[in-house]
Amino acid sequence: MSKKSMEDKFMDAADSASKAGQALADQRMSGKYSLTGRDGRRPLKNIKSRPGGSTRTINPYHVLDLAESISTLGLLQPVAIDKNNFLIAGEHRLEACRLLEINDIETRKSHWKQILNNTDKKIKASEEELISNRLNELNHKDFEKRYSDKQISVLVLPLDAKEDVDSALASEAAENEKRQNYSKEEISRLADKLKKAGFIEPKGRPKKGERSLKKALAVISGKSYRQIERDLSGEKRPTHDGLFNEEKELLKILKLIRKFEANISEDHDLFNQLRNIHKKMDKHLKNLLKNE
Amino acid sequence: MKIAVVSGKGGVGKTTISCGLASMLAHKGEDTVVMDLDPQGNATWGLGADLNAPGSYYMLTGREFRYQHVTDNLSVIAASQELLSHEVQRLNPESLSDRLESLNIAEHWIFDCPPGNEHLEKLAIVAADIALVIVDAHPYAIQGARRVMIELEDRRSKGRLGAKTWSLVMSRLDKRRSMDKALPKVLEKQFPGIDQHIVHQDTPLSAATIDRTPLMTHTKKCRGINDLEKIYQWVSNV
Repeated sequence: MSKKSMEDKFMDAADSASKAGQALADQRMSGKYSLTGRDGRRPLKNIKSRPGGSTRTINPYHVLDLAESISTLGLLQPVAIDKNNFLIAGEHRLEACRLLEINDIETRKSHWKQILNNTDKKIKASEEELISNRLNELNHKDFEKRYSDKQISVLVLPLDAKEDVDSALASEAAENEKRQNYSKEEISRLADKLKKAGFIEPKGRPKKGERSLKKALAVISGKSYRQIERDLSGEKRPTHDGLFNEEKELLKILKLIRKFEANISEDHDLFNQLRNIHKKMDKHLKNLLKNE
Repeated sequence: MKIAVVSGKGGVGKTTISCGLASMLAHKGEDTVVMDLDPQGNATWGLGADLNAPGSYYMLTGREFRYQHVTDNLSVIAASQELLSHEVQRLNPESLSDRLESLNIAEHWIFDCPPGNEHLEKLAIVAADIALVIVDAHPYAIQGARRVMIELEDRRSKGRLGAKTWSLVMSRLDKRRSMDKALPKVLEKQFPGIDQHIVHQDTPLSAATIDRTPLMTHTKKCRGINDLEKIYQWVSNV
């Protein structure tokens, strides 16, 4: 192949590649594939339920937990809606806001019962009073103050959930996934706020009327209760055999050294040096294990 | 000046040129920040900075972040995998521009963009005054450059926020290779009237990266520096 023809070929390929680039730009600028949301506020009553009905059953207990957190901290993660105000993600949050919006305690209770009736869950007799108390104490006033214009924060995604069911579902999944992005620092900042609002860290099970800090944090962040405990205490996450990474690495090296020692018994100098390192590491490992 | 270093294709030398140019600006005594927007974090690493420090993701999401000092007049904001999080991907395209307004501390900002993540690229294009579109002698690079330039042109023609001036930078050019030799002509045909620069294939550019040192700290004289000097002149005249 002569040099000239290679250059010509490149010229032609560039034409074609350039057209492909144009097509990509057109697709992108049509906006159809971009799911960049816009933050905004919408009146609570304008937000409509998912066009295809709920994707999962609404858990009334989760709604209650969320309502408690929203009344103290506000809606940390806006609910996602489409351009026609149909809900995409955040049904529990939306239900919690609806619950908080009700001022009359009896209406609030019956609203919650209604959510319960839509599930196969039953309320235990022993829990009835506790739930009733929690519903009583829901801080409607704080919610009113925060959302005096009756508008809640939303993320408007540029799609039509009725038409574009696939994108709506994908966005819902993506939005839900996002909830796990809370860092340790954010968790501890939230914890401070909640503590000020009267959430506590009870020993054992919380007594009647007590609100558990860690449980609330787990609900808000979507992390597990155990992970919240770790985040707050600064504890490291053990590997599956119960050891921490540093210990594991040390053990691995120790094993290697032992193997090596067995094979070099003739070279006294090297053997002694290794022996020293071995001893030091043993000591370090023991200290590590003692500290925990 | 805020400069977005972009291309539609990976591996064309965006990061090398970003860091090289930043090092040159800093060397001339102009306060420069490299914002690494590529989740791979190559610019962060290449300038010898810490990839674990709170960086671009923290800045974009309005949290506390760190300018990592590299040399006199040069610092870098680290990239991380969190740039791929949904939280960043759903940011309004003007978010970076907004953030910069409140932190306008440097004379120059260089945004090292990732290939294939158009959202992060857009944040940079919208925040920048100038875009350098990097290409090498390959049809894929032409395809990518076309897409980027249409978007730049679209924003400019609609009078939207974003880079108003751009030029093409041919990177790793080695005229002994036939496609490299044809590249200026190809670009002139595909993108008539757009300024072109050349950064030749030059070992010290990669050697600086291997040493994780800014270019001008690594060496004071090489072909790559001469090439970047011309880009610097062009940028200064914009």
